[in-house]
Parts: sequence; structure tokens; C-alpha cells
Amino acid sequence: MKKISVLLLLLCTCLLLANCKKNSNEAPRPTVPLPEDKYGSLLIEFAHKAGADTFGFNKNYINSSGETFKVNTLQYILSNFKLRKKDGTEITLPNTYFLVDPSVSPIIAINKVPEGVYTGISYLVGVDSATTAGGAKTGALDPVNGMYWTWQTGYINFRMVGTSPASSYSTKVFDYDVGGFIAPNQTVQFVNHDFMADTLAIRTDALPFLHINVDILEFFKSPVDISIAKVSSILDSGADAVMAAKNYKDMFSFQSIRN
Amino acid sequence: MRTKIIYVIVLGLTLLAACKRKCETDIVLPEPPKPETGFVVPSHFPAPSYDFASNPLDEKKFQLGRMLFYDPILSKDSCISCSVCHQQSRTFADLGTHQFSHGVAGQPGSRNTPGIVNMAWSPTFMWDGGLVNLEMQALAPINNPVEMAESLANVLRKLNRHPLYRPRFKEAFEKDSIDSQQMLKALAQFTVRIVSATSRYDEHAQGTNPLTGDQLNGLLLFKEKCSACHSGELFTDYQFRNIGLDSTSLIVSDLGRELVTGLISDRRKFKTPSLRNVAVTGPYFHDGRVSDLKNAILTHGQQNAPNRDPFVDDTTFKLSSDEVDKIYQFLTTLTDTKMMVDPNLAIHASDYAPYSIVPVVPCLHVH
Repeated sequence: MKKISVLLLLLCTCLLLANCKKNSNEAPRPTVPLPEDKYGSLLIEFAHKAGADTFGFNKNYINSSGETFKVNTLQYILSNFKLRKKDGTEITLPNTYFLVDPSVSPIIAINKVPEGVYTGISYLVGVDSATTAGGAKTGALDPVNGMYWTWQTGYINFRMVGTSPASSYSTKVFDYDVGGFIAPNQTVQFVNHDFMADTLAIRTDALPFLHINVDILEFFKSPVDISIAKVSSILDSGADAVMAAKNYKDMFSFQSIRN
Repeated sequence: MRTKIIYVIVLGLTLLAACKRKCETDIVLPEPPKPETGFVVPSHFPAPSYDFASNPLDEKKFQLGRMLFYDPILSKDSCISCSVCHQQSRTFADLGTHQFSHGVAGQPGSRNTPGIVNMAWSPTFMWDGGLVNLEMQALAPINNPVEMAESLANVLRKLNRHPLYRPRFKEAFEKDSIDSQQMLKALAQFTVRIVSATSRYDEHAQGTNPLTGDQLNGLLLFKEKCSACHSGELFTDYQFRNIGLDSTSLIVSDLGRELVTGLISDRRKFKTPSLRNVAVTGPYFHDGRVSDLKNAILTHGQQNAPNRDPFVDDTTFKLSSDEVDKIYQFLTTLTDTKMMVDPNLAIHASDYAPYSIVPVVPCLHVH
């Protein structure tokens, strides 16, 4: 009799435990993250320029076609940041999507960067295809930010709006919304910087600053000169958007690191 | 003996506890959807393409999606809800009283409203396939100046100050305010459940009630003549094709798929429409140019145009009036009268209680 009672009690306990376990299987708790002290943060400042000058909104600049223009809106999405070590190994920084708008802030912060010494960084100007084709997002990719085309799937990867006497419109506006994520209209650009002799040290007790130059004059040149008179607007995906994207790929260049 | 009884009682109680007890450390799961309202893949259908893992089915979210679908709050003038153009009684197509549906201020659109059934299987959306995600699709009619003409930011402002939506969303999504992601996922919870798979044809396909006579002959003819494009149980291959319609286009030229890809080879190609419920979802084609179904069948292959699909070549696709009649007879079996009256897909006034969604200003221009 005693044996049976012990068996029964064991069975009861098992049932209760099994019940708990089953539920946890259905909704697993997040896996235990690596200890916090192995991660640091990184600030990246985008230093906007117009050639040798510091960029400012509504200031006159001259592009490679000799056209005077002013910019009143500059916004772009950067994503899929990766840091590179001296031995060539790459660390992917997950969920790195940023909407950069220098009228709001030219600085982005990447948290949860593994500690280490890095010799280079890469990222995408624009949003990768898989994420673009996915479901509703929040944060930098929330369509409420106005960087999303609603009639045709796709993020506006890069936007520059302003005025120029050269514009073909009576309002003298130029308006570039550059996007497109499916070949042959793919506009997402891969940008890679080597830190040369410099290194970026990610530590828990420091907040390093990476400075990247963004030269808006590059939008209008190399590989192709874009004339505001000839192309006063780009408002959907297509050949013009692809041409602009190839140009703005080299807007971004490494400047300096402050560890 | 007495101890035996006690043990049996203890065991019984433990079993009950094991079933009922919620372990404190566990996350409480939402109740699984009830079978009658849940999403079920019909036995003869392929696997859906919607990513259910990113938006697991949930009754509260489904109910919110249904509320939004029937609520003109999504439009600028509070007159146009999704359901104005997508009517359940017409298997979620428009009433067919106009060539094009009308949006805010009675403005006509430029493409024929499709019946939005079986969207969970559709890899792309709209006639030109320009949208590739069901959740994001809802932004198109909201933003379109001749449809709902509303900004996303304004929709969210209206929802967030609404006495009903704010608490309901909080309950369903456990966030303090309603963002676009919650709104779009809720809407998708409703739209994926608009499944049409209970027509007379489906009884045939599932082997419960085979078609006979002209309907069966029509099916055999349909398979021979039409199923290269209107293929499978969804009755579409989801490809883009030009069937030569532009030669007599009455409206402003619509470049179709070329607008998406920029390829001249895609000029005036439009998505092969599903033929489910085709008998009750006229007018037909992307521009609603034909209102009669037999006429629509005949129109295939009758007109030539550059870029026309070889499947509708007038030498290979030639139908006698007898053949058209048979195919028509078969197509009527694709009408799903059960889903037209499925209460789960209908507007529920109780969803909005104690508020009413009847607009303060009468919307005279709607239909």
C-alpha cells in the first residue's frame, strides 16, 4: 500500500511539473543573454559636407553641372551594420536600422556591440530586400516616418529635396525620393569603410565616436553627372533612382575615430 | 480501502490542478482561436504564403481587424471604410454598380476593385503586384487620394484618441499607444481569414458531392482551355499577363506591371485574377470594361496587341458559344454563398458598443 501511495505522489508531482514544462515550451523565455559586461556602445556621427564646406540647410551650393541649389530636406536610412576585426572576421550588429535626418540629429547610437578592437565597418544605404518585403515594422522602419511608398512596396532609401533656379519646375523645386529593392531597380547600396591605421575599441567603460563624412555634392557626380535641369525629380523606382543610388554610394567616407 | 479512495481523490484533484493550474513563471498564452473563426487551410488548398509566425492568430486582434475593416475612421472624410468597396455580400468585391469604385468625395478610382478572398495565399497584391506584403497593403487605399485620402499619422491620431480603440488595442497588443504596426497587423488578422473554399465546386474538389452534367463538362473544358493561367485551387497562377485588352482601351493607358518593374516586356500586363466567385464579382478585367461574364470569357483571345500572351492567341484560344456556355456553367459553381453570410466576417455592431460607427454627416456619395 505504501509503495502505491509513494508512486501516486510521484505521479502527481510529475504531472504538475510536466504541465509547467509544457507551457514553457509553448512560450519559451528568452535565452539568457551573454553577460552585460561583454558589450559596449558605439556612437556614429555623420558629418554632412558640401565639398570642403560644412553642410547647412538652405545654403547655396554648386553641383558638378554648375547648377546652384539649396537643400531643405535630407533623410536616409542606414541598415545592417557590421564591424570587422583585423583578422577579417565580421560581427553582424542585429536590428540596426536607422533613419538619419540631420535636421533632427546627425548622430546614431548602436548598443550591444561586442567588446573588441575593430578595423572597419560596413552598412547598407537603404533597407535590405527581405526586411522590405516583410510585414509591418516599428522604429526607423515605421511607415509613419514617411520613408515608405504605399502604392508600391519599398522604402524611400534616400531623400533630398530643395530648390534650384535650374529646376524644370515652375516652383523651382527639385525632389529626389530614391528607392527600389527588386532587380533591375535595386537601389540599396553597400558601403564599406576601412579605418586605415586607426582602430575602433569597443569597451564597456568607454563610448567611442566614429565620424563619417557625408558629402552631398557626391549625389550629383560620379559615376554619372546628375543635372537638376534634366532630372528635377525622382519619385519612384526605376532607372533614374538606380543612377542616383550609384552616385550617393560614395557620399559616405571614413573621417576619424575618437576612442 | 479508505486510503485507496483517498489516493484516488488526491490523484483526481492533482489531475484537475495539472489541467487548470497556471504556472506563475509562465507567460500566459492567448486562447487558441475557436475553430469556427480560426484560419483553417482547406484540405484541397496549397500552403498559404502569409507569414503567420510574424502575426500569430489571436481573437482580440482579429476582432480589432474586423472593427477597422468596417470603420470609416480610416478615411479622411469618415465616409469610406474598406467595406465600402469590399462588400461581404459580393465576396468582398464592390457592388458592380460602377466600372470603378468611388472613394472620398465620390472620386472614381482607375482600376476595378477585386474581391479580396484567399489573400493569405497571394504572394503579391493589387493588379500590378506592386505590393508584396498583406500587412503593408492596407496603406495603399488609406493613402490613395481617390480612395481614403488619409495619412497614416492622422489615422493613428484618430485611433489613439478614440475611447474604444485605445483600450482594446492595449488589451490585445499590450502597448500604451496604437502604432502603425499594431493597426496593420490587426487588419491582416481579419483579411487573412477571408477564405473562400465552401462553394459548390469545393464540394466536388473535396470529393463530397461531385459535379455533374454541364457543370462537369464545363470543368473539363475549363481545365483544357483556361487552367494554364487560372490554375490550381486558387484559380490563378499569380503571374502577370497581357491578354490583348489595350487595343480597345477606353481609359487612360495603364501600363500595369511595367509600373512596378520598369520593363517594357511587362507593358500592360496584369495579374491573373482568381476566378473564385467570378459570377458575382463583375465587372471584369483590371479596368472593369466588361460587365457580362460570358462576354468576359469571349474577350480572351479576341483582340490582338503587342505583348499579348501566347496562351490567348486567337488560333489556340477559340471558343464556340456552346463552349462559352459550358465554361460559364462551371464558373457559377465557384460562387461561395456560405462565406457571403459568414457571421464572423460580417460587421458586428456590438464590436463598437456603446458607440456607433454611423457617420455624423451622411455620406451621400457612397454608392
